[in-house]
Amino acid sequence: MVGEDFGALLAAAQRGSEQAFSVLWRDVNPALLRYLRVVAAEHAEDVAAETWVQVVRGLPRFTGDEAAWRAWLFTTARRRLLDQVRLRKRHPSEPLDEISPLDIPRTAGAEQVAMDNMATESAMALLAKLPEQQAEVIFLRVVAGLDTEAVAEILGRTPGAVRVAAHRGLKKLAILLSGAGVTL
Amino acid sequence: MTRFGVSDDDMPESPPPPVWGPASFDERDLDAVLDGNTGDVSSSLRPVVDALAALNAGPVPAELWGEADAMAEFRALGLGHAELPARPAAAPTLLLEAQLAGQRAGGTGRRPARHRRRPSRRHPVRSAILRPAALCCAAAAAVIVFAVLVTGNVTTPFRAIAHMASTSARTPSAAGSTSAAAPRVETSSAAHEPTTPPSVTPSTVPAPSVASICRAYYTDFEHPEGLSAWATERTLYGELAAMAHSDNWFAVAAYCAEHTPGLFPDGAPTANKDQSSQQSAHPGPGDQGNGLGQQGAPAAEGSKTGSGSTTVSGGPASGNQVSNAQGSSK
Repeated sequence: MVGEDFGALLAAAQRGSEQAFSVLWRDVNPALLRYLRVVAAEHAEDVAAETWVQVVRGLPRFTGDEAAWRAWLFTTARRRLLDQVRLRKRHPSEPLDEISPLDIPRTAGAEQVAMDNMATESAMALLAKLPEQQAEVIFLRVVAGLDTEAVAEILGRTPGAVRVAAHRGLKKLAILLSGAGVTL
Repeated sequence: MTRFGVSDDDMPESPPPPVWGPASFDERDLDAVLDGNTGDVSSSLRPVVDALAALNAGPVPAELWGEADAMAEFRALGLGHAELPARPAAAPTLLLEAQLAGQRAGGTGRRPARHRRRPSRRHPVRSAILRPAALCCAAAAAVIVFAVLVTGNVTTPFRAIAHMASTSARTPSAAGSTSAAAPRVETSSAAHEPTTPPSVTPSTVPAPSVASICRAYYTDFEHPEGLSAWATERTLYGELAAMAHSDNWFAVAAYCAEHTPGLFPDGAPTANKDQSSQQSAHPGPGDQGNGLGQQGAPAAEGSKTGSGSTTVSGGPASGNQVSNAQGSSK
């Protein structure tokens, strides 16, 4: 979360400041990607790119605080995701040759980075075991930082239904963690 | 013993695992976890809190790879230009910013006011050279003004400056010749021709005036000190020529020798037959450099014309004859 500087950063980005836009992008994009990987692992990168294109085009007209900014961005991402799913259903395609893990660029400390982020990957894998609705609600509430009403608006459900889904998801997550002996 | 015939020590009572029993947290604990208030949550929810914290961990490099694409889109839509909060080194120019600002202002094409600092057009090296030169000129001007104020004479400081210039530019000639190769202050005698003949009325009391004028003239002739001395010489020579009723230099010399005893210890300069009628009326200042100072007598060297030069091989005092080296003198 950007915090108090969000207003100034947003205004600067709307005036064309690349640095301000970079700060906003770096703040939201990791959460956006994680959310998309949980709900649509295959299209996460593509949907994220399309989301940012849409956001950049609408940036000069956007008004609101940081919560509204995040709600707008995740709403856009979810709509892009639905469009992508519909498109893939109408025009199924097979992926080209899968990229070998050896072809992925590796930094000098790739192993250390992987070790450091193993907890994140494990948590995402654990969250992916939840029902899709519950996982999405928990992600939007916890990772995206949206409140119940915003999540309800994004998902097209009532706030009460969102709250129930979140509670059920957390309980199931607790059972999974305790029963499987998962340590993060 | 139990009723199954098993010892009580072999069947200890242990609490059931948490997943089997009732939940040890309530709705408020769940809302607190969702809101991020994890300080007072139940210990049974602690693993969940840790898992959610791992989801909110910092970004991995792979999650930041798309920044370039997003930034390219940002620029492609005409939004991107580095402006705030700190301008990077590779920022666009002010002109581009002004154009973008004009476009965003409504596309009216009216440019906002720009205030640019124009770079100095002066070459740094040239300025470094000109500045000391200007200071020197100013100092020289101040010295001249001071000298004029003190002495009340305008020509004195200029004579001093001309003397410095002539002594630095003149090359001593051992043979007393005025060859063309010798550097001179002025080489063209044509420029020194008087535009108007001197018109000096003969004095009614010639005796004392003639002597003083002759001494002044030949003293100045022996020690030429630049253009001002040459002008003085010409004036004096004009007066002498008027008194002698002849513009011939040898006649003037003879006239001075007649009226000024001791002016020529070795006798007045004379010319040979060929030269007597052709000798210059008055030598130019550029021809004075090797005159009597080296030869002991006024050296009538003069290149009156631009094409020819009269070479004095020896001063009259030394008995040498004046010869026309090229025979083209007037």
